[in-house]
Amino acid sequence: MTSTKKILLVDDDKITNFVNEKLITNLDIPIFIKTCFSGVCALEYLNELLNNNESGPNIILLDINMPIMNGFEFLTELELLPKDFTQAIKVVMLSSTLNEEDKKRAFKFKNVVDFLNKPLSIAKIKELITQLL
Amino acid sequence: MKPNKTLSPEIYLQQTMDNMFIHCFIIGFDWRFQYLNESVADISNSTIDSLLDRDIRISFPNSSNKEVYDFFQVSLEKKTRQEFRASFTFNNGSQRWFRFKVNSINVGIFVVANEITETILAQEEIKKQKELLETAEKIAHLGSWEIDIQTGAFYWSDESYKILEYTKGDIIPCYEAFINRIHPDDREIVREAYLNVTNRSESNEIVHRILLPDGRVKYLHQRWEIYTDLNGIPIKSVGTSQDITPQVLSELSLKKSRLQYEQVVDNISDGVISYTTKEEILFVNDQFLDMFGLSKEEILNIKLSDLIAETDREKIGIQHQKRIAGEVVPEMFEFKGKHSNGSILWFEARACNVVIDGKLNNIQFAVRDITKQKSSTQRLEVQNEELRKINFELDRFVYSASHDLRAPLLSVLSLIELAEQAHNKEETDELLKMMQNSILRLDNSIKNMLSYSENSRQTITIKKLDVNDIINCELTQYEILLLSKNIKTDIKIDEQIPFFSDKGRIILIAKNLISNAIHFQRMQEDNKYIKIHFQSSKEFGHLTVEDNGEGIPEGMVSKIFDMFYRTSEQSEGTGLGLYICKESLNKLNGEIKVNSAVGKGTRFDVFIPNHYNP
Repeated sequence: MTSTKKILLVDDDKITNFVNEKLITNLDIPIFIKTCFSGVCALEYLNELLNNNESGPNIILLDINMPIMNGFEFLTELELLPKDFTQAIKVVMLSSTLNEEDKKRAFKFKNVVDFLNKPLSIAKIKELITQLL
Repeated sequence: MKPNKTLSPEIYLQQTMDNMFIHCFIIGFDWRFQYLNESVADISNSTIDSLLDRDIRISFPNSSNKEVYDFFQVSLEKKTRQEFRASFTFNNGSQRWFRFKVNSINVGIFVVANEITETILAQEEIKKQKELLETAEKIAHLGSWEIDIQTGAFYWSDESYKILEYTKGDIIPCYEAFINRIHPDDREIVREAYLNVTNRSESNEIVHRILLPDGRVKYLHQRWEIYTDLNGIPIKSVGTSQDITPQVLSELSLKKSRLQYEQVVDNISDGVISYTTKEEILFVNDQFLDMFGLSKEEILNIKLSDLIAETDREKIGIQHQKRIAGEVVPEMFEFKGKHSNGSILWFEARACNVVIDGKLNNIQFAVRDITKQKSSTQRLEVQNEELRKINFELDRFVYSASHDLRAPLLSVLSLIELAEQAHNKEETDELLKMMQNSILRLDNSIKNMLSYSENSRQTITIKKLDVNDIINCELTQYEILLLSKNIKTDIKIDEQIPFFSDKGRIILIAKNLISNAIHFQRMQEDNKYIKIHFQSSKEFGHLTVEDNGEGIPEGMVSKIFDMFYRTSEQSEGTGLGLYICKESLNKLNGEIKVNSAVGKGTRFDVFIPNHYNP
């Protein structure tokens, strides 16, 4: 499948999403960026892809602390989706709390490949994208 | 009998002798009976004829008669007159006692024998009895005495002498000798008793001390009886005196150690009780009685199980039965006791089985009131639980606060990074605007946290409030927002009954509810409104804040008062507002109720106690 690479940004902080989107856009890599302000919104987007028989996003940048559905709750829901749809999804956790417990808890989910503290620098986001795509 | 005038004096004498009860006989120098009267023949179970002219030694050959014959021989040979007591044994084996008088006469000896067997036997019996009595007295340390009331003469048995430590013969038993031995402190009671001994015809007894010359003290137990004559006049008193020194000394030392034990038990703070297996109380100290609010008389009239609280009675009862049965049960245990005033107290008890001669004699309990410790332990447990809760909340607070404080800061940092790459002023301005929003959000978070902290720390200050002013003051802050969002307000404040409460907290509650009502409006709603109504009664102030905004999904209603809970991703809030409301109301003993429907709106009803005291 030669479809465009997809990246999903999930954060309730609009500025974070805005900044991350801008940073990725500035990399000049052909990539589709989707932003969601909550886990619920992100899950709706994934289901939409599934229903349209599209592949899942290659990378999800996921915030932990969000209202209604937090990052962990989203990961639990993600694991309930069809395996062939989710297995290629690489989740990078973005946290502002510097909490070791959160880190341990995150790596128990199969899709989580990295755990980063906010904010993401240009260099860091470049390294991440090139490494994971 | 009239003497026969025809008889010669010799014949007359012989006839008289013949018929006498006294035994008379004449023995010739050749030891043969020359004469014997009927009494002699009778006593030897033979006839006069069979004995006459017979050698007495051959007729009565028993060896024990040798003594008698020796006396006879002396008189026969030396012609002396003799008087003696001796026993004589007859041929049928009977031994009898006689008082012999032997007179020498021309043909031999004339013997008169008066039988004294009965007297001798009686004397021997008395002697035997006396010996027995003496032995008994010696063994029992029991002396006997007798006082002749008529003459005042005293008689003491050997043991009586020994008890009084007088040497028999050195002293004549008398009242003075007796009273001299009496311990000076006891003389009065002994004198009194002595008057009883001599004056009254009744039994009596007394225990007194005697003081011996070397300073030793003995304890005597005197018992006596008075004997009277036919006219009821006392003639003698007969008594015993027993040396009971060893018993008294051991009793005294027992009493002393018991006294010491009781003093020890009286001076400790523990309550002590000992009772038999049949629950008869042997000992109880004042502390025990105080613990249960009982007197010594009262405790005797209740069941011991009444001292235990109903909830513990069965458990302690089973344990008690097991203890009596010799089963192993805990030596120390705690139980709830019941004071006579009905209050329930906690006790710690230590039980001890007192075994005498291999058998359980009684059970001793030392009891300590541990109510204070117990209640402080329970208080500590409650405090501990509260602290755990506070700690848990603090953890959550730190976790969420660090997120809420860092998130805007991190946003600003990333915006700065982005700004560095900005291509033109418009782009930079946009980023600066975003930075400003982030900083405002951070400021908002800090303000909320300060409110939260103030609520938990500040004491409650009650005064009369102007609710109308408070509400208007809050609304003023949102004037522009209300206008720009086209939100109508409906304010009704009824303060006819003055409302007294804590101003700071009422402002916090109003601020957060109004802020929520404004921020959760629905964009698409044309007729946006918020209603703020307040009415005071004597009991409470009732504040209603209602909007026709987004509403809260049903499943979230129970969580909206939790710390840092946010219902919407659109929410710019910190998740602290309603938590602060709830906490403030907790401080004021108030209540908050919520009615909400998604897409229709939300209504909060707040009830705050009115401290108005007309």
